[in-house]
Amino acid sequence: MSNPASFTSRLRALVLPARPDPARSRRIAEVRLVMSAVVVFAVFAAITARVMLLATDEANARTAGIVPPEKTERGQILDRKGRLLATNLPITVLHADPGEIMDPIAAARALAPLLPRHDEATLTRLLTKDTRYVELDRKLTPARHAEILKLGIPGIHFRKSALRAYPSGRLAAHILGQVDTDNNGLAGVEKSLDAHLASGKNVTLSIDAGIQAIVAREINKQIQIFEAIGGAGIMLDIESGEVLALASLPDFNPNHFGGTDDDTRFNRATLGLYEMGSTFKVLNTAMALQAGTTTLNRRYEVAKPLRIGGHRINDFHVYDWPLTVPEILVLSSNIGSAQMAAEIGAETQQAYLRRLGMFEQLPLEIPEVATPLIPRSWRQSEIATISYGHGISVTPMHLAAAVATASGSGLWTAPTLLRRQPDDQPLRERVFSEDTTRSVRSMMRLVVKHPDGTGNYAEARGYMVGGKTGTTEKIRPEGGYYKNRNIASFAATFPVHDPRYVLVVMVDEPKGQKHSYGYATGGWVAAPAARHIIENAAPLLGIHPVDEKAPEIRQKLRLDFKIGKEEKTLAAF
Amino acid sequence: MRMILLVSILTAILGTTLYQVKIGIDQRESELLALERDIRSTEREIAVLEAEWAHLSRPERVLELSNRLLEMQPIPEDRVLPIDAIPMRILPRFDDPVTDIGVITLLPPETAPRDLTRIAATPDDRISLKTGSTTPQ
Repeated sequence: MSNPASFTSRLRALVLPARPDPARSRRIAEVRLVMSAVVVFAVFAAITARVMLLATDEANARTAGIVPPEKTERGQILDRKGRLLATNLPITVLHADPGEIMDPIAAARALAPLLPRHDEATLTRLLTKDTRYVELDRKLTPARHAEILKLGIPGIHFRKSALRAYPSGRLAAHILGQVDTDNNGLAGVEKSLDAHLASGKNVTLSIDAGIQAIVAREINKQIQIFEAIGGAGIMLDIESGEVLALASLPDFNPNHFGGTDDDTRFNRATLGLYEMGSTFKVLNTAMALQAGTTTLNRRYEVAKPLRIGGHRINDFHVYDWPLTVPEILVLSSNIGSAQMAAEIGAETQQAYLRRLGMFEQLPLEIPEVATPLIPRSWRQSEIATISYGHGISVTPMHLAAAVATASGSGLWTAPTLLRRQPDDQPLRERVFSEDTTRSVRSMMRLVVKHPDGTGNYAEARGYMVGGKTGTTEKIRPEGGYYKNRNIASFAATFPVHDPRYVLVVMVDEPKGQKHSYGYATGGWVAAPAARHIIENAAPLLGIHPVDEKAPEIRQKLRLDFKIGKEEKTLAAF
Repeated sequence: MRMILLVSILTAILGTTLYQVKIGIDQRESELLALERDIRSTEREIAVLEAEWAHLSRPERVLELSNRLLEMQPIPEDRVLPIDAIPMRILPRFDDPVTDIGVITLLPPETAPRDLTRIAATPDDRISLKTGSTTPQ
């Protein structure tokens, strides 16, 4: 104890006893070291390998657990204010693999009470089919889903799917169109923009759901009142060419598309070709003024029927004084219009009609567009009849675009069903001068405003409605005309002092009623619908009623027209 | 020897860290997955609710409900006036001896100001307003 050094050395000798031979003990140490290193490395390697194995296994298990990345959902269709018109709803599809089902009869008996679409017999037949896939139900409610799961029948499978739904029901059904069970577009925008929608992008229409509903409702009312078979209505923004409403009646609910017949699916507004009748006089007047073949005060003798190339042209009423151009439009004289057209001539008339889009399909974003039926030869009789809308069949949409040109800015603008973006450059072409359209608008106002005008029932006070009525007999497929099957139409522009919208209303085969004294004309059938539509829609369009006598309104119109015989002359303003 | 010890300690530390990070990533991934599932089902619910809202607020139904429950009619033309047709009241200004005493100025419709604050802010306008109130141009 007296020597600390010796204590340490003894302790050391105890823990690490001195080796007899340093060289040998060194070798032993080295061998031990290498061995332990090998063991340590082996253990670590094993752990690492296991960890890696586990990690990849886990990852595999996780990816297996993920629901397979869902197919991009079909894009939604919205109206111009972002209201939903077409969307997708999650549904469960119930299907079965007959090869896996052990006892089809028992399975059918168990399933039948839960599936209202099938009874036991049809289910048995389905479940014994020699195939690997039968679909049992497409729209399974969550409750049914749970009940069927509880039955635990092997071979019965569920699949999540999306159902194309149209939450607004029949609203704008003809524009939207439909999809088949695999979500491929079949008609309407669903078909023409199928690729765009299928890639998950939304579509914003130019349609305003509110105005669309008003147009459909008011025309429907007239169809009921006049026992008509159908109708169509179009509201067009003159400046941009945007279609705010496009209704074809009867319409259908695209959610239950299956049961609708062809007539209901038929889009009368863009696919139906009709002789639009006297509404064409608006175009004829604009052409004659623009071509310079007539002047506003020129008079035409209309007392006697006109004979042109074997055709006899009559007027509804006989006017025994020569009519001015405004009178021909306001009183709707066929004889006067035919004379004006004869002065225009075939070539000029064709050139104007072509520029008004009457020779071609419209570039609308739906597949249901028709090419107008134009005369094969353009003789004197064709020139005459086209002036009052006979001998040429166009769609109501063609008429709307042309009236928008003749009574708006004079520019023909390609109509569209998609909302215009601020930087869009719509296809447009000047056809009439501003001065011509101002005269046309003023005359159209008189059609509605003047007591002798044919469109008095379209007067929506304060909204400055101008328009033109049209009544034609329908064409027999075998040639000639039906005596008692009419097309009643009305083309309106409002407000006439600052033209913003064109409205075309068409009613197919209205029957004369007691209250209309047996008449089923454009003035009796279509004009009142136009009035109600404008009265209801104007607040939605931001159009306020004005005082017609106010000087700032009067100065925007021509006021120097005289309608009627000298003794009862009445400038209607 | 010391080198080997150092390297193995380092390896152990790196290994542990790597393992921790890996575990962390796994956990986050499953959290992410849960969140994504959540988002998807919420989105689906929103889509259903939006469709329901669109269905319930469809114009056809609103028209029917308003006809039945509200006694409203289209606004007649004589009930609508432009804002300019309403005579405006000029608010009193305390530093102005004329309006300070609470004179209410009725203006003819043509001169009725659209923006009262702007007019009251510049002295020139105020003068023209005063004259305008007594002698309309």
